[in-house]
Amino acid sequence: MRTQIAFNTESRVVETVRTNGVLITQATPRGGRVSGASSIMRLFAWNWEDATVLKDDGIHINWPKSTQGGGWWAEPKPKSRNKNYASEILKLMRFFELAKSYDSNDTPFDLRLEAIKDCFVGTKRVYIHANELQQIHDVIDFVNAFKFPFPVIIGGYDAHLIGKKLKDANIPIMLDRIHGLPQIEDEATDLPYRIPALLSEQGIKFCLQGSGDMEAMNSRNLPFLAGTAMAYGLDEEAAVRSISLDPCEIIGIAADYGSIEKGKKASFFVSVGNALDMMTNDVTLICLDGVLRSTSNFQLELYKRYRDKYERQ
Amino acid sequence: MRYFIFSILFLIANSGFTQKVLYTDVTVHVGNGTVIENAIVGCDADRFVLIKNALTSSYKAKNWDTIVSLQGQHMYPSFVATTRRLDSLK
Repeated sequence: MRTQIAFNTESRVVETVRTNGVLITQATPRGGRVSGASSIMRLFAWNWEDATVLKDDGIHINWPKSTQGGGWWAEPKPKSRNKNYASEILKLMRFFELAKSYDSNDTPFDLRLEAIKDCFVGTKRVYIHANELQQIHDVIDFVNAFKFPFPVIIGGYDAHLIGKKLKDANIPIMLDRIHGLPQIEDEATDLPYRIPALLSEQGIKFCLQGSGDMEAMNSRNLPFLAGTAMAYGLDEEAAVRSISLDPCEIIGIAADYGSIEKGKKASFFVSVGNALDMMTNDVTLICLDGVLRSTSNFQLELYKRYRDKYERQ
Repeated sequence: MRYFIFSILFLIANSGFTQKVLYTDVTVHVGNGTVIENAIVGCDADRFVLIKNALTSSYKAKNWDTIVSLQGQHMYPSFVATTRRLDSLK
């Protein structure tokens, strides 16, 4: 699956995301073991062609779960080992061995293998979704076995436990939404908030992202994830970096985006106060690729409309 | 007044011709871990051409088509939401 051509530029949700300062997104496929290719897209555009910053930037793999069960927060249940874990990894390894040896000149054309082939030469990144410690250990082995030039772990909840190994393997982390509960009962309640600072202390390259429940709407809260990381030990400018330059370096668009530096695309926004604090994030100017954009959205318009109504009464 | 200035600026920027715009008196969070207080930021067409501290650098107003004061405000690079299902299902 390729997300680029399915990108919906008319979404009304997008209006409320970009007016908080989020101007670029990585449209990502979901589901299955190998979900497909993501693309980097602008949030102001007429159509998906205009919106594209970088097409098919990487392939997404959902690493097999090493545990199963666990219930949910209201009815927690003990976790048990996934008995099929080893066989599921083996199946994945075989698929990638097949992709590595694939040559369209010798064998019948296979669209799946053709898409994955670029991961071995570095023209596409390999995004591996994994959170648990066992998964992360096995992902490092997987990456070493195939020598992917640009591997990335998405999730990485337990990454701070094996910081040195990850740093040695040079694998960056796209940290899952930190506004969440601890995954293990005896962990500190504020651990999710502190994970960015723990990764930063260990010198691991990471960025913040908000995948999870209702991620479409929740991506408007991305600045506030960085604000929470800042409140729990991350330096303010490091927090800004974790949602601007760091993600751009990880996804491969840092030559043009991610920081306010000479020669880069004029893509920025201006806020009256600290943009990482929801009390002071008040965007007054948005500029993407040198063009000033609207700072209004339908929620703001409704707010003004009903405020005026009650003021008149 | 602030909204009036931004509205005029918005209309000019979308009128089809490119221009050189200078933003002054703004705190710039560069994105690479540094911050520049009292900065001047220049844009020519779709690129940044100048980012400096106003206390150590000067500029000639005649070199810019528009100069906008953002007194007391903060400038950030565009934020990037990675790994997002949003808008992929049309």
